[in-house]
Amino acid sequence: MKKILLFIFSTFIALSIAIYSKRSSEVFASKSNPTWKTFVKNSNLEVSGHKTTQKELEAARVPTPKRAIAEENNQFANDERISFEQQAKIIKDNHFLIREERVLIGDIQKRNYQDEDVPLEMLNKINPNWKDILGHELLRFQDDDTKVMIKEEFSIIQIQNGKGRYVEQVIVTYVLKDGAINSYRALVDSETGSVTDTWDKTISENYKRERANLSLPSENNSGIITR
Amino acid sequence: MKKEVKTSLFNLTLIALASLVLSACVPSIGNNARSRAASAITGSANVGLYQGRVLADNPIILSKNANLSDSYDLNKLLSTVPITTNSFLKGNASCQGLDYCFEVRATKVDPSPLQTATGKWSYNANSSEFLQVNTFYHLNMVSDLFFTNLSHSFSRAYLGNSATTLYDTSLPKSIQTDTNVFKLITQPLIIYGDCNEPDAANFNNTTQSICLGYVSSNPTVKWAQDNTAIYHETGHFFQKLQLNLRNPLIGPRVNMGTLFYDEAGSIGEGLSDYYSYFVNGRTHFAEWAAGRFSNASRPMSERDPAHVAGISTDPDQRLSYPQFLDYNPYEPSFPTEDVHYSGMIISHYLVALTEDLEDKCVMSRRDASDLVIHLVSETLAEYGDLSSTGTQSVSSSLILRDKINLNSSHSSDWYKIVNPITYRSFMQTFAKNLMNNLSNTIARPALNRCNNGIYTRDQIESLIDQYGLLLFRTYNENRNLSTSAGTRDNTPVNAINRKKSVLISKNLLILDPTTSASSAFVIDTRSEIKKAITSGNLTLSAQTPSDLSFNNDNGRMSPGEVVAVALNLYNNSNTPMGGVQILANDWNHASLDPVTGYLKPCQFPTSMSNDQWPLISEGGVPCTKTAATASTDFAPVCFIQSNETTSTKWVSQKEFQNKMALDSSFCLDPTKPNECFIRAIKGADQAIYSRINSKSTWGKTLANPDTGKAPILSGANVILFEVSKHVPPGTLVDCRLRVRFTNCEDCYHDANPLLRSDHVTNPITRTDYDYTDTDYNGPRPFKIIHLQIPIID
Repeated sequence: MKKILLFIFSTFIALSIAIYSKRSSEVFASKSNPTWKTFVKNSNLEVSGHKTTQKELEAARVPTPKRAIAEENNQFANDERISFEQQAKIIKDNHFLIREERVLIGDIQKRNYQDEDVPLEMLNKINPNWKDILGHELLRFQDDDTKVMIKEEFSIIQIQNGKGRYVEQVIVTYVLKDGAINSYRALVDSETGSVTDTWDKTISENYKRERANLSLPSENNSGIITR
Repeated sequence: MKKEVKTSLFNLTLIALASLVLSACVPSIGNNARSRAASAITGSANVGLYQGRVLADNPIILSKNANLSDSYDLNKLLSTVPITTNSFLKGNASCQGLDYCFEVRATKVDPSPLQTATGKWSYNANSSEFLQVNTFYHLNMVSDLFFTNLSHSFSRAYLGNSATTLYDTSLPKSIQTDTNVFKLITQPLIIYGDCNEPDAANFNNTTQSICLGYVSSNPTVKWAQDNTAIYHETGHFFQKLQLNLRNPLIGPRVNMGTLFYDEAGSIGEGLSDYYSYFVNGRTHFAEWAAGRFSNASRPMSERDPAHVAGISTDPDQRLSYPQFLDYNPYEPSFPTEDVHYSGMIISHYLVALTEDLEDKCVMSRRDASDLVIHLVSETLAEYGDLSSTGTQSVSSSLILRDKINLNSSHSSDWYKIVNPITYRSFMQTFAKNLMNNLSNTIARPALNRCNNGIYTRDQIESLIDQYGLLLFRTYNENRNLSTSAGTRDNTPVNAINRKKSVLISKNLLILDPTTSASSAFVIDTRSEIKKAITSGNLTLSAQTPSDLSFNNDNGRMSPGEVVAVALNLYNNSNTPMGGVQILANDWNHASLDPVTGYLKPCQFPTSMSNDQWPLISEGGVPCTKTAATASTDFAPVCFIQSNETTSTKWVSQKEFQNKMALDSSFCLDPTKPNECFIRAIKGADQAIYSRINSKSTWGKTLANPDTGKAPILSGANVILFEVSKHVPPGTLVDCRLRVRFTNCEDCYHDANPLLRSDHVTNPITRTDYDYTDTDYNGPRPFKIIHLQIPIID
C-alpha cells in the first residue's frame, strides 16, 4: 500500500514536471518580458489586451536568442527584450541626464535640468493607462484580427522650447491577419498615448513592396480653386 | 517470484518516470540547428578546423554563366575559406571593440545561431546551414572593412587619439571611449540567412535584423546565395550607424528616407549598392538574386552592358540628375518611381569618383573606396545630427549649436520635411568633405590624401557636374546657421564648372495651365484612404470614425472625411525638375495678435514672397521677417473664410471656432484650436514627385508610354487632410502650401541678400549663401500655392 502511494505520488510529480516544462517557454516569456503587451482588434467596438506570449513574439519574428549565448557575451544580445537592468546600464554607461528617473532629451544644453530645483514647466502629466490608450489608437483603422505589440523601452522627458513633456519610447510591432509584420519605434505622449514621432521603419529591397495605391477620380469635381 | 516481478516492475517504472522527469528538464532539440546539421554536412573532412565552404561571389559570376539555371548544383562553385573559431556563427573581434556585434541564424524563429560541434563549417550548398555560413562569411567581410574604415576615420579626424580635431569633422570624439572602441550599438545585427520569406531582402531597423528570403518564382534561388545582397542589406545597417553617430542611444533617431519615395531613401539605396562595390570592386549588384529571374539587379557604372545605348562614361553621357531618376535599365521606356532606381545616380557617381581618385591621386581601389566611405560617414553623421551641432570645431570655443536641423527642439521635423537630405544637400556636404580631405592643402596639408598633389576643386566640381548634381553655389561650411556669430566664409563653387547641372527658377513650377485641366484632385475612397492611413502609421483625431464612414467617394471634401489631395503641378521650364516637394507642415505665415490672441494670416512683402494673400482688408497683417523660436512661429497651413457683417475675412481656425461658439472639445484636437476644423495629418503632410519633365506634369512624365495612362499615386504623392465633422457645410478653407524642387535656382541659396529687409550681418559676403534654417520656416525659399477648398456636404 505504501509503495502504491509512493508510485502514485511519483507519477504525479513526474507528470507535473513534464506539463510544466512544456508550458515553461510561455511562462518564461511573460516573466522575462514584462514590458511587451499585445492588443488585438476583435471588432470595431472591441480591442482586447494581454501580456505578450512567446508564440506572439515568434509570430512577430522578435529575436529570442538562447539565454546562454546572450549571457556569454557581455552585450545586450537579447535585444528586443532589454530588461530594466539593461536599460539602467545603457543610461548609466552613456551618461544620460536624468530627472524624475526619466532620461532627458531634446533642448537640454541650456540649463541643468538634472537638478530638480531648476524649474521646468511640464506640458502634460503621466497617465498610467497610456499604453492601453495607445494600443487602442494604433488599431483603430486596422482590419479585424490585427494585433499590435507594444514594448516600452525608455521613459523620457523631452524638452522643447524650454518646456518639458513626459514621453515614452516604445517599439510598435503590427502582426496583420495575413501574417505580415510591420514595426517601428515611436515617441508617445505619456498622458494622451498619442504618437509624437516615429522612426526605424523597415527598409525593403523588394521593389514590388506593398504601397498605398490611390486612384485619381475619373472626373474632377472637387471644387478646389488653386492659385 | 511474483513479488520479485512486482518489485522489478516497480523499479522499472520508477526509472522510466525518472527518465521522463529528466528529459522534461532538457529543452527539445527537435528543431535545433545542430540536430539538422548532420544530414547537411558535406565533405567536412576536406576542410580544416574553423574552415567552411562558401560561394566566394554570386553564382552568376562564379560560373561565368549569365543564364545559369536555378537547378545548377551550387556545390560545384564552393571555395574553402576560414569562417570562425567561435562555436556559434556570431561575430568576433572584427567590429573594432564591439566583440559581439552580429550573428547569423537560419530563420526568425530560431532561438540561436548555428553551432558547430566539430569546429568545421562545411555544408551542402542546398542546405539551410550553408546559407547561414555563406551569409556569415560575407557579413564578416563587409563588417571588417566598414569598422576598420570607421576606426581609420577617427584616427584621421583626431590625429590618432588626440582630444582635438584638425578640421570640422562630424565624427564625435565622445563615442570613442578609447582607441578603436566605439559605443555604437546596444544590440547585435542579426541576419536570417534562410528566413523563408518570398521576395524578401530587407533590413528591419527596429529588431536590427536582416531577412534574406527566396525568389518566389524560383524558390531554390536564395538571396543569401548572392554575396552582393548581403553587402547591400548590411549597408543599410551601416547607414543607420553613420547617420546617428552624433545622436544618443535614447530618443528619436533618423533613417535614410521617411516616405515610400523620397530622395533620402533613394540615396540610401545607392549607398547600399556602393557597399557591394566597396567589398568586391564589381560594378553590378545582385546578378543572381535580383537579376537572373526578376530583372531587378542594378549596374553601378555607365560601362555596364545592362544600360541602354547613349549611356557611357563620356562626360555628356553619364547617368545624370534628374533625367535618369526613374530609369529602369530593364524597361528603359517605362519610367518607374522607385528609390532603388533613382538611387543609381549616386552609386554611379561614387564609383566614378573612386575610379577618378585611383587615376588622379594614384590610389589603389581599396584606398580610394575607403576614402569614399569615410566621406559618406562624415556626410551622414553631420546631416543626421538631431542635437543640431553638426560638426566638431577645430577650436572648442567655436562649437556652434543650431547649425543644422534648426535646433534640438525641432530637428526631427527639419530632418524629415523642412530641410531633408536631397541630392542637392547630400552632394553639397559630400563635396565639402571631399575638399577637406583632398584639396585643402594650404590650410591643412596633413589632411591631404591625394598622392599626386591635390585633387582640385575644379576636379571635384566637374565630376559632380557630369551627374547633373552641381546644384549648389557654395560648399556651405557655415551650414544653415541662423545667426552670424562665429561664422566664416563659404567657399564658392566655380560657376564655369556648371555645364550639365541646370538650375531652374521656382516660378516655373506652376499649376497645370492646360485648358480644362484640373489643378488639384481630392481622393476620398474609403478603402484607399484606409490603406494610406495604416501603411503610413498615421494618428488621427478621436472624432474620426474608425470605419471612415463619412468618406463618400465623391471626389469632394466633406465634413468628417479624411481625404488625399494631389496637386497637378506643371514644369513650365525647358529642363526636367527633380525632387518636387509639396509641404503642408506648420510654418511661420501667421502673426499673433496681442489683443485678441488670435493668429492672423501674414501678408508678405514682395521682397519675401510672390504671395500677397490675403489683403489687409481680408484679414491679413504685414509680416516682414521669418522666425522659428516661439510656438506661435509655427502655424497650421489652413485658414477659414469668415463672413463678417461688412466683408469676408480670412481667420484662424481658433477665431472661427470662437465665432461659431463651438466648444473646443469638438475640435479635431482639443489642445490645438488652430487646427480645429481641418488639418494636414502629421506624417502625411508632405508630398514628393520624383521628376517632372519639361513642359509637362508628373502624370504625363510617368505615364505608360504605350497607353498614355497616368501612373497610380502612392502615399508619397499626396497630402492627407482630416476634416472635422463639425465644420459647417459651405465653409471655404484656404490652405497655404509651399513647393520647391531639388534643382531649383532660388529655393536654397540667396542670390541677393542685399534685397532683404530682415537680414543680416554682412549681406554682401552672404551672396549665394544657403538660406538659414530659420528662413526655411518662412516663405522666401518656396513657391507658394493656395488650395481654396469648399467643404461640401
